[in-house]
Amino acid sequence: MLPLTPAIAAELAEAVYEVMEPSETGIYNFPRTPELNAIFNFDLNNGPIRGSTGGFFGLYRRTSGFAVIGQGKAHYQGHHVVALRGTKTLNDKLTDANFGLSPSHGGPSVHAGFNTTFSSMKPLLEKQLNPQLRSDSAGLVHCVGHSLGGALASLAADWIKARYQRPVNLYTFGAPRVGLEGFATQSTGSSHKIYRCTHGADVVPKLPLWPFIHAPNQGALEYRLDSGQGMSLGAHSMGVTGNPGYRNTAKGSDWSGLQKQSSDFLNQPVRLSYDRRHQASFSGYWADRLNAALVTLLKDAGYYTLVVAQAGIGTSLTFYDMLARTLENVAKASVHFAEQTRGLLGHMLVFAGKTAITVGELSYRFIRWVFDQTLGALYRIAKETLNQL
Amino acid sequence: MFWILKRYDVHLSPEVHGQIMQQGKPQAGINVFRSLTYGKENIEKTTTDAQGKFHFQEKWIRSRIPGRLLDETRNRQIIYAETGGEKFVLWYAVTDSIEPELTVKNKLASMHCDLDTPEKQQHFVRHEHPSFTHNISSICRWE
Repeated sequence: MLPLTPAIAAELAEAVYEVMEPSETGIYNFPRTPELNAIFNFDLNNGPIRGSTGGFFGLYRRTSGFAVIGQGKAHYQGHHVVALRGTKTLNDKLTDANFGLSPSHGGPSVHAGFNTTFSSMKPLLEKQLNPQLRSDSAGLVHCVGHSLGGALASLAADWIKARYQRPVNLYTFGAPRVGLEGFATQSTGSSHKIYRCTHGADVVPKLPLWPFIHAPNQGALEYRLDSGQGMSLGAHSMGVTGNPGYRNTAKGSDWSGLQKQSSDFLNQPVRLSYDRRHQASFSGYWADRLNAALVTLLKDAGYYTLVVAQAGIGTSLTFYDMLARTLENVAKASVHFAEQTRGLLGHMLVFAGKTAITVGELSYRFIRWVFDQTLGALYRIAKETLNQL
Repeated sequence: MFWILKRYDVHLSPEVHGQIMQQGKPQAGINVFRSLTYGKENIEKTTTDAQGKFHFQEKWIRSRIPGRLLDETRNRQIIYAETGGEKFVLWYAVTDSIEPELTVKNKLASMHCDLDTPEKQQHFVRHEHPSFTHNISSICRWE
């Protein structure tokens, strides 16, 4: 089954940003590259797909478009593309540590903010997709998105596969993690292929932290499109003027020409020793290691399933409150687990630049505070980077 | 929190010079509009002179938008003529650049528009990013 080329997928991911609020002049157009025009038609006689007037459940400022749907032609005959964009509200949710989880289509827990947004766009998306996808065609549906649009595209791909029984491909650029292991597994199974593209210094794919997991989570490959190091917010940009800009790095007509990085190591158990905490540093690598170490600890202590289940039901506690309480219990369970917890928290503190602080009592309050420091360090980089622009 | 208040220079449009013809004759007294949208829309109007010529100034604004977290705001330029209740698109483009772009500057400096020529998508190499094109829609044609 023919995938979109990297260049076409990147163009589509950016195209949704060009679908802006309608001009007061009433003039609407959607000029694309000749390469995209040759393989997809966009019926935009009525403009882009957008929420009804008065705002889209308050999520979209007035009637800004949120999706672009295209019908394949030439050697993509029978295919469809669905490109989605994120929202300003979602930006806030991504950097809000007090988020909850809720069950996605099919059950597994996902970020409640992403889920609510996708649920609110679903009726309109369904209305647009019904006449197109309920045909006899068995062609691929390509779901595309950048940033939070990538998170929404993941949820869309999963839903389209179940709703229309069509094979789906998922293409994301700098997308955050969407859900826990259950969703990653479901998403990996639903999609024929997942092209998850990142830049080395893009901070967004490192969010939300723990214990969120990217799909694909088996035979896991990530398209690491540049050799950027450290963390910078500029590395997240989609456009040609970005540095490096996903439009520039997602080049060419062949995915095999792009650098692949196995993220299988994320699924390997990671157990951290407190004495070696100074090996940690504030980097994407360590954000991933800490993620894996937390998942390992919860699994070793037999709490992982419980955390996932509790997160799924939703309580009055925020996710990190619940996680801190769980770790307090894990640490109490045995000296062995207390040491493993201490190792994790020690590394988190070094990651967050709190090298002078030693880990003492493993209380809920202290653990919650360590989470706040760690999350704060990651969210702060976003703001500091902006300050330097 | 100073970063939130910082304003940036954003280039919305270069200077525009054009001429509107129909059946080889200059069209005088036609209203031409330029709509520039970066966050909010700004519409200006001018009228063609006896030679069918029209002109708009270069346009810059100061904006806080580029400093926003994860911002992906795009810059939309629409220039159109309105006559006999009909709108003729002279330029429709969207760019992610907040800096002047040489190719756009050159195209908008000399717009030859014939009201009988159909609107079509056209592709011009981006001078600053030569592996990409400006994808625009217009009834005008350039050499």
